[in-house]
Amino acid sequence: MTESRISACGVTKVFDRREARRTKGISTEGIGALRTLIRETWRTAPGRAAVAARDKYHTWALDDVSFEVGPGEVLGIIGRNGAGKSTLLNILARVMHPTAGRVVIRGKVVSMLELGIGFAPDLTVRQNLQIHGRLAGIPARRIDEAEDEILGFAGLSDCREVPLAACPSGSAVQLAFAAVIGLGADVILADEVLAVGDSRFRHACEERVRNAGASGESVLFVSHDMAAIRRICTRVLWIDRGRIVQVGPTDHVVDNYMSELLGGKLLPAATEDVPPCTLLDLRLLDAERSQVGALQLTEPGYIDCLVRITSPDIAVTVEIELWQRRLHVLTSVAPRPITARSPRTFRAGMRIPAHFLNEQQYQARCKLIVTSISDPAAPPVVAGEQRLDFAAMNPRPHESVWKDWPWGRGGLISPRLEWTVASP
Amino acid sequence: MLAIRIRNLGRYFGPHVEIDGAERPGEAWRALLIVAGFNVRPAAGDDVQRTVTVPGHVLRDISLDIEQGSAVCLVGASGTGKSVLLRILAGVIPPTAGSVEMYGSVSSLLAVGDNLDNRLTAFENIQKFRIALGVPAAAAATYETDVIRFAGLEGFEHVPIRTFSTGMTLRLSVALALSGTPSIVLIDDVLGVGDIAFQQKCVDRLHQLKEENCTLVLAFSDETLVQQLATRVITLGGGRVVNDVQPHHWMPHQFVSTAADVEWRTAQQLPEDDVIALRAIDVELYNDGEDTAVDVQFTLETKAVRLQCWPTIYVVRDRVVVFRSVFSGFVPMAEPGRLTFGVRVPTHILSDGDYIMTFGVATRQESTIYSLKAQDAVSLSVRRPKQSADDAASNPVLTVTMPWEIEALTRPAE
Repeated sequence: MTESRISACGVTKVFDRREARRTKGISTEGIGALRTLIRETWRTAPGRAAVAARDKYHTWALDDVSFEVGPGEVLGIIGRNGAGKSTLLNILARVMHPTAGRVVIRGKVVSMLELGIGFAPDLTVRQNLQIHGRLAGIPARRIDEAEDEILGFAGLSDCREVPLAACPSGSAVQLAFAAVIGLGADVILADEVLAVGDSRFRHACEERVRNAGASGESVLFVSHDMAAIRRICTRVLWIDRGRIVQVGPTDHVVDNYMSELLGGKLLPAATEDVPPCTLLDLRLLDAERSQVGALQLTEPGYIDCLVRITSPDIAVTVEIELWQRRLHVLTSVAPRPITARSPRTFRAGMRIPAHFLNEQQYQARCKLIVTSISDPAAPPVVAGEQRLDFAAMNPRPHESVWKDWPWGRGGLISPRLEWTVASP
Repeated sequence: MLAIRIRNLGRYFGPHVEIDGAERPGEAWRALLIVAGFNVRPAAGDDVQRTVTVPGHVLRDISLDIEQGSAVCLVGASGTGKSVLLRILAGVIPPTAGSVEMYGSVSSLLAVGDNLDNRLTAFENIQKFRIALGVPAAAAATYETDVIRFAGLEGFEHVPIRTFSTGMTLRLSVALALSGTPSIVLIDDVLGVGDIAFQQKCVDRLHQLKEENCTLVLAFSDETLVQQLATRVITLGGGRVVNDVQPHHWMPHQFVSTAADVEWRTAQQLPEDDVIALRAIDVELYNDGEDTAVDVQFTLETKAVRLQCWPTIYVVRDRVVVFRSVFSGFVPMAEPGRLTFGVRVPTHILSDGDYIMTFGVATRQESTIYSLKAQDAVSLSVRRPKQSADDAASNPVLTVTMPWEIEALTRPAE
């Protein structure tokens, strides 16, 4: 049996909410520098960390996760919003330290946690590619050799000497993906990458990921797009609330996941009190109401909540706020409260019209407001709260009215207005 | 008895030249030539971002009689000339037309800290102010303690102003401006930064001054302050008096398009001396029951031949671009001339607040894209009936009604 490329053993990550408020960054001056030096030198060895308490101050993002990935395997990671998928990938990419547990990765790792990071908009496409490759430790000659192929794949052969900022939007993403694939790696960590770019590019990417698997590279792939998971992955890992629920063949695990999620069985263990209503998941749907990782601007989409109601005595109103960085864009409240005579799961989706949002990152914040039916005087209670970060992309940047616009993509939204032109 | 008499007052701001690198000797000559009205070819390698603002009127033909003992509130969107009018009344800048007569001693606060000397202590500042006001030495001690108490600066009397926090500076500034027995008080919109308790103290003091037959001219944007204090509300728009009413007749309109008769022009030079100019001609409200919108028309004039252009509009609030729109596709121009663009800006999706709409045209010559931005803008205030109190906590920029889909997924369990 061949040696596994990735082996994770008992990986645990606990976020301390009190600690987050203290300064944790790396300081280079004064007493902070000394503190950083001591902290980084005698860092608590993984596995020997004091196991944190299970109280309200500690969030167990990952709880004793162990798995192995062999060469040539494409492992998909699925789970609800906030299940710990991205934390796991961040730990594997060494962006975060695990609180306990051990991760061994054999081979060169390329992580695509956020595509486009590390590209300089004022350098040309070729210079960017050189810098990217050299940072990854690839000799200049090999980058030169691979250049034609990479630029061809990214569709940027014509803009070799054009600054990246002047290229069509989404170029950085396509270039990053093409570079990662074209320059070669043993292990690829990909978080929701196939959500970006136009459909032609997405298909090309899927093809390349499948080929990468076939040529012996290991791929770890996080996505909300179940269709993409089914097409690409050879094995799927399903995690929920930081624990592995199931690992196994793709179709089997995905089917189980879908039926449990839509059947609303993903509830706390029976020993705990069953709350009268739970926000099971907050997700992004496309026009056909299948789950996706990014919103396509040219089509309508939904920000969708799965709500489980177990008490007949409550009326639940769903409220979704949309934020762009620190700006509150809009609030929308569902037009009618949801009630259930017997335990049921509901989906409430806020429809986002086509050509409404801008090419930006957004955050949806969902709240369940619960009022009692038998006691109308009781003040409403906020039951569940979840946040979902997503990107709104233009799938066909070449057809966008802003395609030649060199001054950025500002704006909270980007509605289409009625224009008239007349020459007197 | 009259306190202030204003006759045909106008204020015109002359050409303002803003050219990168004007500090270089060659560029200074160029700037002078542009001011003198010569059409100067841009230096090699310079882009068209440089602008020459065409001069314009900020205030025109304002005539007012303000009675002694009245409290006048100036309202209007930003950029409508409230501050300029106050500055002229305070004598900081002269009017370019008309006359102003003021009867009585004037005390003014146009910006936080403009009546303070940073190097001196609070006490020294108060003493300086007292001597300027002519308070007799016998009353000095009471005057000083009154100001200190009003500003809430007990214990900080001998601390230099430069070490003060913003709030402390504001309190001392206001306390000095409202001290003594002035007969005319001019205050620009500065109270907003103070805390509520101090604001209330100021309102009480302003009431007291009013009862002592002092004339107040205030520019407040806070509606509650206006309602509490004013005996007369004057709305400025486009440099003119739009509305002059008693406070109980005044209500914040649902829309105040203060630049309904916008007259803005901007001219920039494209390469090859092709002059291009933008002109707004019309802004009007559109309302079809549920949806309200603003129809804007603007005109592009150019001598350029073979020009391709995209008209654009930006809607900005607090320096945040709410949205922008561009005409989909190039507009080809076969010959030099004039094009009128019209755009309908939906306003029913905007929440309560002040917005600024700016316009521009991007043009392409060969592979280079130039942007021509109008120097002036149309201001738009959106006023809606107050929502219920629990909505006040968060304040989204947009008020869009989104369609929802709600459905049950599982069959009811037994």
